[in-house]
Amino acid sequence: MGGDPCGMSGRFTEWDERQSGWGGAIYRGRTLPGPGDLVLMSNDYLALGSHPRLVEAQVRALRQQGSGLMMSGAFTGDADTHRLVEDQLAEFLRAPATVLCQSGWAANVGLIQAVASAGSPVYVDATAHASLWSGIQAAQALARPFPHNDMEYLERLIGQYGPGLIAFDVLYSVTGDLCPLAELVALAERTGCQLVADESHTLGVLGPQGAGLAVALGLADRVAFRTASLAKTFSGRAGLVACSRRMAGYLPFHSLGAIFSSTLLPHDLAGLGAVLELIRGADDRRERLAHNAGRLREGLTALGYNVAPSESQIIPLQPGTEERICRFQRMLDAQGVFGAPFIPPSVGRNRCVQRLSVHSELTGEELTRVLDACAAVRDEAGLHDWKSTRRLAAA
Amino acid sequence: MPMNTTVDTRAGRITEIVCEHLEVEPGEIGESDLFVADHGADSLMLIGVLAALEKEFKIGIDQAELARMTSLAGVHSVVAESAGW
Repeated sequence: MGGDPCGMSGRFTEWDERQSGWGGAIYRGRTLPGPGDLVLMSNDYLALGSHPRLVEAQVRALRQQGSGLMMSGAFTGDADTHRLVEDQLAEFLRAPATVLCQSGWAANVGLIQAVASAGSPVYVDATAHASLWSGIQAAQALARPFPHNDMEYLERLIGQYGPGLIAFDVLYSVTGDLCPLAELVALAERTGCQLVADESHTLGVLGPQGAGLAVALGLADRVAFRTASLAKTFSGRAGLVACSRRMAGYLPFHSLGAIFSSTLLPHDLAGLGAVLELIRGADDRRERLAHNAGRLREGLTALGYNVAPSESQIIPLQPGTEERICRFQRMLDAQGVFGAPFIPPSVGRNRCVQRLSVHSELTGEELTRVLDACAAVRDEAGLHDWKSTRRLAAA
Repeated sequence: MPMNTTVDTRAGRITEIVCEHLEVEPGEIGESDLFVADHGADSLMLIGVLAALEKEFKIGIDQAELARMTSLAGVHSVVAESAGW
């Protein structure tokens, strides 16, 4: 086995000690949801992941083509299904073109790595997704972080360091709040910057036919790059970049992830094509999603939970420390309500969050069960003593 | 306002801002505690601290100064220099 040139033994010990401090299991070892339990961990906000048309399209593709050709996306041809799905997605997003990637991570890292010059400034929201930060590192560009959604600070920073990319999430995946997109567009145009807007959690959810916030606000042609994971509402394993045609002809041959990682498989593409049609026609689901999310946010607020700044289907319950989130999660799990824990490195050490992700097909009775569970555990979980609760009281 | 009172008020406000962003109580943090090692802060929280201090004291702090803002003592020093106290 050799020695330990990377110093892993110390890091393993540190990890063991950290997990011991939780007082239980947060991830592995956690009790699994049983039949009838409510699982609010999934980003499948329109609950399309098991839709018969999606499943059938994928099964048909697998039967007809198996896994297809195991090759880099750089080798896909003009007549490939890949191009067809990219064109369909471009039309959906009111974009000149899209580039499909293996994941949302690959989309963000690959885009920024290919576009930002070494040493150039990339302005990035302090709470933006880790993939945007990794893209900046991969490009050897200079990350210039600005406090979350702080436009005034961002403008001063751009004044100091000059034009560059501005990278941010359109809807933040832990806190559930939106970026000020119109202000970002105006600022970028005023300062000669270009926007990288990650619409992972808004595609399918907001805008006409679910085309996202940029389309909803009529800003699609003023955002240079829209990126997304298609592992949320699209229920697939893929990502995309929406951009100019010129850029779409450049990225697959300059983004290292696109070149040096195998392309999407036929059943991935078949699934994306099928789910796109479902999403376009899912206004009823979008309405139910907005209703369900609003009801849960309001109900939790009435129970004393601080769910700010959420304004969406992503609802953060904020116990604070890892030990507290572990205890809280165990109590909610026992009530049959399974959320998603966010601990470092996803959030700061004292800002741990149990995220509840709402979907459109939750019934009124199920939402009542979630609220009843949160009511049942709040005293034992010490809700009154959470920092987030005290912040709410002080506001 | 006497000088000492002014200094104490400023120091207290700096501590409050730091604690607010690090999610700790003022009584839980010592002057030389390291934000990252002792209180689990990350660099992104510290961007928030920096921006809040700029607004509070109407000063400008270059992000390069984050390298010195690793403890309350370091923050006091950076803010005092930027404000010319």
